[in-house]
Amino acid sequence: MTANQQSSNLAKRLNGSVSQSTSQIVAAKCLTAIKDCREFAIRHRFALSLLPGIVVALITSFTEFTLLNSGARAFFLWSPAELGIWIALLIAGPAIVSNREMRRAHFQLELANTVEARRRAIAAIGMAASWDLDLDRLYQRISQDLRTVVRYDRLTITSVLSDGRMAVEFVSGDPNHGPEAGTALLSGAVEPDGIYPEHLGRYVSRLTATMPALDGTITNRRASGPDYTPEDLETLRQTVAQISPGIANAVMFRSSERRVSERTALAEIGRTATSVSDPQAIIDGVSQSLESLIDHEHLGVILADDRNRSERKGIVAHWRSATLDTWNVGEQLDIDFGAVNPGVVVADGMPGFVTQVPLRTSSDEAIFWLQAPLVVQEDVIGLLVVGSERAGAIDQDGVTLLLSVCLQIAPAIQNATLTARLHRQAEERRAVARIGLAATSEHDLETIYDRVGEELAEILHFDRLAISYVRSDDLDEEVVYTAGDGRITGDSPETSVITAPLGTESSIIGHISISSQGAEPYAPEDLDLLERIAVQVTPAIRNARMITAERELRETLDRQNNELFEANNARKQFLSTVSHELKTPLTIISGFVDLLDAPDEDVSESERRETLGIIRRNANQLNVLINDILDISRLDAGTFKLDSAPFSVRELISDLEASFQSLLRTKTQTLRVRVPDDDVWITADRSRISQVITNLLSNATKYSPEETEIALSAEVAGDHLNLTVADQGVGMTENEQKELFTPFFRADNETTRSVAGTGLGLVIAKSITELHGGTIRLEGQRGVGTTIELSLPGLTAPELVPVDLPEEELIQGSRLWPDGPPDELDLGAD
Amino acid sequence: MTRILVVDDSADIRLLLSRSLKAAGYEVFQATDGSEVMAAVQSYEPELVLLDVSMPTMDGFTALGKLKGDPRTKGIPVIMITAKGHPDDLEMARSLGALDYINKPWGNGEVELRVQWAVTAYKRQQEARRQRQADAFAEDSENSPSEEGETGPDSIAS
Repeated sequence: MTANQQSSNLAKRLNGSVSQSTSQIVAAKCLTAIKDCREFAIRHRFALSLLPGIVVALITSFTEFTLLNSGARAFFLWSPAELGIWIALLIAGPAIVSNREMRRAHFQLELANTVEARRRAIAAIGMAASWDLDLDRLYQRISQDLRTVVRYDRLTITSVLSDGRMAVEFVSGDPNHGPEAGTALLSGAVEPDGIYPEHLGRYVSRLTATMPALDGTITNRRASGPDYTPEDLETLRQTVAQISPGIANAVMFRSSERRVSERTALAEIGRTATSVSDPQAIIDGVSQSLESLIDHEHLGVILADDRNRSERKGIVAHWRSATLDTWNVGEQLDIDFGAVNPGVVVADGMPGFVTQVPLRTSSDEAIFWLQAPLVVQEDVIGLLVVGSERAGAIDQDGVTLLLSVCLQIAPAIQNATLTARLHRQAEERRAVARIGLAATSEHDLETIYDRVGEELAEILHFDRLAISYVRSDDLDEEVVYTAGDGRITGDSPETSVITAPLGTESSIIGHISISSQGAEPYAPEDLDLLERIAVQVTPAIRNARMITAERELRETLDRQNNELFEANNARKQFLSTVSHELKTPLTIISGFVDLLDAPDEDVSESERRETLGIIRRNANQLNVLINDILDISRLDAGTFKLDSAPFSVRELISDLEASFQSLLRTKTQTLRVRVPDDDVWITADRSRISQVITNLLSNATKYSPEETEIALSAEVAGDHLNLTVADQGVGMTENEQKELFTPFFRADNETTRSVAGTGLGLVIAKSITELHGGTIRLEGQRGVGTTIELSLPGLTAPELVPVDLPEEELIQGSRLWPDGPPDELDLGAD
Repeated sequence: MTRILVVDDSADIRLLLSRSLKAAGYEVFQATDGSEVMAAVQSYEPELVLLDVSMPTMDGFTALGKLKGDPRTKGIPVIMITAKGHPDDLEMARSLGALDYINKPWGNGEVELRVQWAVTAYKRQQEARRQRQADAFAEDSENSPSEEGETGPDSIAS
């Protein structure tokens, strides 16, 4: 049964007793009516005492009158009237004499009536006070009833707390002048009964009587009118005497009620503590149970950080506050557990044991803290703190209760914490084993990382996971795997990062790092855990890396093997093609020589010339081919050397133009040359560039029909020189264009079949251009023509060029002996 | 006059062969690519084909395969002209049914000798076949009149 139900039942019972008392009041009223009648009789006794005399006189007078009329008067000494008067005097005389006494008696009756009324009022207050067990309602009733016997403007009832302080239990009347109900006065002694002149607020007189039931006082104050009299004091004392049993009962009831709820709460706390294995749940339950039992605004539970006990760290396990928000659950506090003084209320704004944590309410009022240690086997495992902003709110009962609660929950919290830690350790151990298993059951590195990440997330919170390896060449770390969103940086204060090495201490192959943002920072045991995980996954990662490296090596070898195979095939193909290309002109030369040489051959002069022409052409072709093959093999071997020097582009083009004139004439083709207005110089191998353009031009003439135009142009584009050869020849298909730069390829069409060529020219042209750092680009389409553009870097300012170069080019004589042969060289007869 | 078809992409080679063979008393026709061989054979009906191996559109081996794959032309002897002389190429030529090959560059008079031998061999074979056919016809007229012309000319290069 809860405290609420108890109190409502109690109220019902009290209401019953009230209805009973109503009938008693009716009886009392009847009694009063009877008393009133008696009082009336006393007050009018004199008048009543005359009544028999008057009646006798009247009867006598009537009789005398009748006798007179009948003539019997002679029988009586006195006339009946006289007789009547005498009788009346006889009867009334004593009454008259007793009138003074009667008056005095009447006054005494009046006085008795007043005292009786007061007594009755006091008795009624006492009776009313005995009916109610609710202290507040009782005070209310007393304050109303007391007004009828002692006038006051403010009534205060105080009690003395178990710690000696005085507490204001009840205030009636003007609340603005003096402390309000519920306030505890830090100092103050119980005054003896008496009438005191009053200076508090607007009051002029004060009447105080002790109240043994509360160990306190009841005080009346007047703001106006005459000072209190001793009678008032007496009345108050009598009232106190009357109400004391009732108040004592109510106080006892209140404390027993409280004890019942305390016991219920303690039982509830005990039940929670023993049935719940989560320390947080125990603490939450305690906080809830205490809420109604101890008058407080702030409640906190700080558990000693057992990992850091030597550093006197505490972790906030629970924090509930109406006005303070400084502590967060999980926050670390510096705690001097030795300084904890259990059961003492401190009032310096923060719990006495906590240092460097500014705890202030918004109004900056002092907070009264009660700190209760959680002790298990003389070991302080934590603290329960309760705070209130009102002095005296936490009383001795609260202290006792809190200490009992602490005794009850401390072992449970300890057990629960230990159990939770064991659980966590077991879970961690399982997870570490799982990670190890997961890692070793995979061979693919990425899968291993993924599995490690998944399993790690089960036991350690992280926003980002990163695995890095030490590179063998420069020993820098290279991040090979990341998971999660956050970035691993130590710069942000909200980020907590822990890193564990992969590998043994002597040979660290990399690191595994996790970071968390905003949440609780990692603890040393988290690092321990990560290190254990690192140890577990290291062999798997090392093996997988080895396997990966081996696979990569094998792939590289395979690829190289393939490349070598391809290269070998290409060389075979090349050789085969070369031999064909060489043998064909050789065959032609030797064949025609044989024809000419035939003894019985009748050869005409024109036929002989034609044959010799064919022989010469094929010999030239053979020479070109051999040069091209030599160039190709040098390019292939990387021994192709460029002899770069600045030269004039205009000069080169005019030389080429001149050398092509005869060839152009034979095909009746024209060459249109376009060069920049200002001469352009370029640093390149002049003879090689000339070779390339010659090749392009000879292709253009070969593959263009007669009477077409070939264009050769040079222009500057940015820092490059663009040399373009465009023809209106047969052109090429897109496929042919793609193949054009492969050795011995020749586009297939009627023209190419009829034109001699090695199929090496463009390959060499491309290589030479690229050796110069330039590019070669081909455009055109079948039947329209071909445009080939060389783009070469190395534009040079003319003034930097040595002026003697042309002369150098024109050196005549022996190349071996440019300065003339030495004397010792025997040149034969002069 | 014996008709010879020369197939080569080089005009100079064609001219050279043509002149040599004409001087030796042959009638010479020319084709410039393997792809032209079938048409040329059908129109000129040569008694010998000199076939170059390396040609741009259709190489000599492909052309040889086509020639030997057609019953109407499979009997015509073919001499391959090759610059390679690689054993694989010779094996290829033999398996496809070529009669002989000439390596570039050839020696003085080699072409004429090989051509003459081939032509003689071809003519002898033709003669033998005609004789067989005549014998068979004689036999057939005695026994049964069927199988006339069923035995085509066999490849002589095997």
